[in-house]
This record gives sequence, C-alpha cells and structure tokens, in this order.
Amino acid sequence: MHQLEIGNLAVKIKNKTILHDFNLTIKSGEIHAIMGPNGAGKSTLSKVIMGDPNYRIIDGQINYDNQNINNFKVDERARLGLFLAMQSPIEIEGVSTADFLRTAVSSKEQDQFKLFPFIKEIDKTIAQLGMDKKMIERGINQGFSGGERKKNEILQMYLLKPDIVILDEIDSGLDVDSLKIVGENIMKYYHQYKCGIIVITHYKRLLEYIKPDFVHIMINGHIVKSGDYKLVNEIEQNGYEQFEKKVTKVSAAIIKENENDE
Amino acid sequence: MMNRIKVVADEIQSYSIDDKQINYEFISSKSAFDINQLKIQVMANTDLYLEGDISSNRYKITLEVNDNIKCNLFTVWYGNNSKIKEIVTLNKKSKLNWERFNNTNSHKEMIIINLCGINALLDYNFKTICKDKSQYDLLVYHQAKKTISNLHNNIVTKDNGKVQIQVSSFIPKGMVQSIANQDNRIVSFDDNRNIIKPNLYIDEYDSIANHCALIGRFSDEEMFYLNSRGLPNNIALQLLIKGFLLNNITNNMLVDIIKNEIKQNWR
Repeated sequence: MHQLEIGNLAVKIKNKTILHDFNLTIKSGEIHAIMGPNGAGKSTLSKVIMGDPNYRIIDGQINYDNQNINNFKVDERARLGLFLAMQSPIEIEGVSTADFLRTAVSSKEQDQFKLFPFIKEIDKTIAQLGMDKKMIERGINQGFSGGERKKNEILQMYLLKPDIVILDEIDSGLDVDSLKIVGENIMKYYHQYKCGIIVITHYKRLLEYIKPDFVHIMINGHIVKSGDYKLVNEIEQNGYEQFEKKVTKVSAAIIKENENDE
Repeated sequence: MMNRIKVVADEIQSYSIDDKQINYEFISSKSAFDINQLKIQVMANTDLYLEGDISSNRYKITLEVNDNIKCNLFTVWYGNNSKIKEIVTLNKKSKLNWERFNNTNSHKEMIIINLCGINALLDYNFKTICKDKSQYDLLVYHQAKKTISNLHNNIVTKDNGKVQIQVSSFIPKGMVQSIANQDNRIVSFDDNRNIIKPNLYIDEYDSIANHCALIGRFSDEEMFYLNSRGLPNNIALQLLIKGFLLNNITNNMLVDIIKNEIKQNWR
C-alpha cells in the first residue's frame, strides 16, 4: 500500500503563486480526478509532484509513504514509483523509444533487469495499445501523432510499473477509438497493479473509462470542492462558473498579489 | 563486401580492397613538409571503410564516384595536430552516403565536394566530440543540374573543446532543380566560444536551399522528460548525447566506436 500526501502546498514560479493551500491524499487503489478551468494550476500540480525544478515550493510538503520528498530530484521520485503521463510529451530526436525504455527499465531494475522478458513485455504492450512496432525504433515521439504520443506514455507506464500514476490530460488529441484503447489500458493496469491514479481532465468522456472514486474541483491553484462522480455531471451541466464564485479569501488575495506583480 | 583501408601516420597499415570496385593509390610524404596523398576511385556500387591515426600528419584525400555508382563511405579519423584536405567528386547519377566520426584534437580539415554530374546525390553525416581547438571548412559545389546535398554536422564540445565550422553550399546560375540542405548543430557543456558559419550561395531561382544552425545545451524539457522516467542526470545526458551523435549513423563499426567514446567521456 502506497500513499502520496500533499499538505498545505504553496508553489511559485518566478514571483507568481500558482498553487496555495493545496491538500490531497491519494492511496493505492484510489482514483482521483482533478477538474478545473484552464489556468487553474492542474498541470503545474502534476509537474510539482514530479519535482520539476522550475517550480519553487514555498510552503507545505509532499510526502510519499510518510517520507518528505520536497527535496527529492525528479529521477528519485520516479524511482520511488511516481509516474507522470504528460499532456504534451516532447520529441527527442535520435534517442529511440526502445533504447530509452531499455535504459529506463534497466536503471530502475538494476541487476534484476533481463532483456528477454523486457522485449516480450514491450511486444505484448505495443500490440495491446494498437501501436505500430516500428515506432519504437524511431526517436522518442518523433513524427508521432497526438494519439500515438499518448499511447507511448501508456506504454512507458506499463514498462516502468509505477505505484502512483498522474495522467495530465491524457485524453487531449485522442480520437474516439484511441481514447477507448488508452482508457481501457489504463484501467487494465490499474486492476493489475492496484496503483493510485490522479487523472487531470476537462472532459467527462475520459472519466467514463477511468471512473474516479473522488472528484476535486480546482480553481486558482486550490481545491474548492471535493465529491464523488456526481460532481462530474454537475460540471458537465453547469460548467465551472458556480465554483469560481466560491473562491476563498486567500485565493482572492493571491490573485490580487499576482495581478500587482504583473 | 566491405572495402577497408587503414592509414597510420604516413603509411597504409592494412587494406582489404576489391579492385573491381575500388581503385586506389597512396603516395607517402617524403619529408615533414610534404603531404600524404590517397586517391580513390569508386567504380562499382560498394561500401568503403576508411580509418586512420593521422597524428601530426597532413593528408590529402581525393575520392571520385563514377557515373551511376552508389557508394557508402564510412570514415573515422583519430589523433592530434592533424590536417586533412578531402576532395570528393560525384559524377552523373552517382550517390554518396558519407558517415563519419572524428576523434581528433587540434584538428584542421577542409572538405570540398563537387557534385559534377546531373542527379548526383550526397548525404553527409559528420559527428565529432571536440576536446580541443578544431576547425572545419566544408564546401559543396552544385556544378550540375538536379543535384542534391544533405549536410548534417553534429558536434559535441567537452572540457576545453572549441570548434569553428564553416559550411558553404553553392548553387550557381543554371543548376536548376538543385537542392542544398544544411543542418549544423553544436552541443556545448561550457562557455567556450563555438562558431558555426552557414553559407548558402544561391544564384539560381529554380532551386531549394535550407539551413539550420544551433549552438547550445540540451533543453530542460528533454532532461525533465528523461528524469521523470527514473533516469539520473548522467544517464539521461549520455542517452541524449548518444541520440545526437548516432542519429543517421547506420554502420555498426562506427556505431560501436561512437558508443565507446561516449562511455569514456560521460561515465
């Protein structure tokens, strides 16, 4: 059983406060959806959890299995079992996906790494995701469509076997068929490894495949409401406007501070 | 069959040549002021692997690819304080795929490529790790219609490495439907001044010319992406350098040499 606990987190980039008073606890086997309008800080949250050095934690803590990981490097967090499936996975010319994955898995498994089972697993997962086998010989995401990039993220998830998975708008750029494949494969992984999932999305359609236990509404870097799946329907019908009115006094002060800095 | 020639200092140390495919002549320098000369003519479709320790030596290499012939040329030079001048001629409908790696220091090199025959095609991929001062001057002359040159120079500088590379492509008037592409990149890990001078001298409207020149480090996004998959900085960096230097290199011997150099330089 693993647990990621975010307590009273406040984060700045340059002089702008992006997250404040942010609290969230996620355990193995739980699915949390984070929804919110553009600019609410959802992607920032995913990068901060992963340890992106561009963001500065000014208050609060991120604990993984009761260990404070605020000062952990990105790769250390990944090796602990955190995984971020990115919204816009970048292209890296010359580094083949196969080589990259072999290096990443062998770096994680160290002496336990065995090439034959790795190849078998990669072949199986590629088939399962409906990917072209030749794609993994190309540079990472080089010439990949939006959907192929997202599938490549899920392929990496399968091979690295993380315990807590953060899916940052994994549905963007996916057509209906690809969305189904990606959604079903995420759930297959979830059932197989009993991982915890944070799914960041704007739309209900992804949550029809990845059914969340908890839904959180994030506005201006802060969770303003938490609930169950009913909340998704509420957003679908009424949008975020009703929640934007509920911005706390602290949020209002931070918005004002950011506006003054600009 | 892979044809091979290995030069060390001022002599040919070993060779394995099919004389139906390759004709060659070596003229050794007679004094310290003289130049070693290697003349090669490619007469049939073939692969040629040319390597050598050229420390403290001067070389002039001429290579001509006959009409309608396709040649894959792989070159590896190593050593210090060397100078090379390479003159390559591509005749009618000939194709040259040139993959090369230099493991040299304090090295000066001039490469002149003449695309003399209609439809001549050149794919040029140069890779080097530069740990000292080096200078490269690459000149490509499109001297016939419908000629194509694709130039890729990927250089990594390390320690006190400082490199200057001048790449010039010429399409004179009348050389219609010719294409000159240049892609020159230097990845640097220090603040040394590296220079790329990309020149496109185009005097024909009915032609295409592109260039890309880039000096810098690997991006933070690339490092973040690899780190986020559990790769520590040193391994992520090694992987990025490998991708940068092995891109477009198909020859296994060259791949092994480059991989080994990366391992030794970025442990």
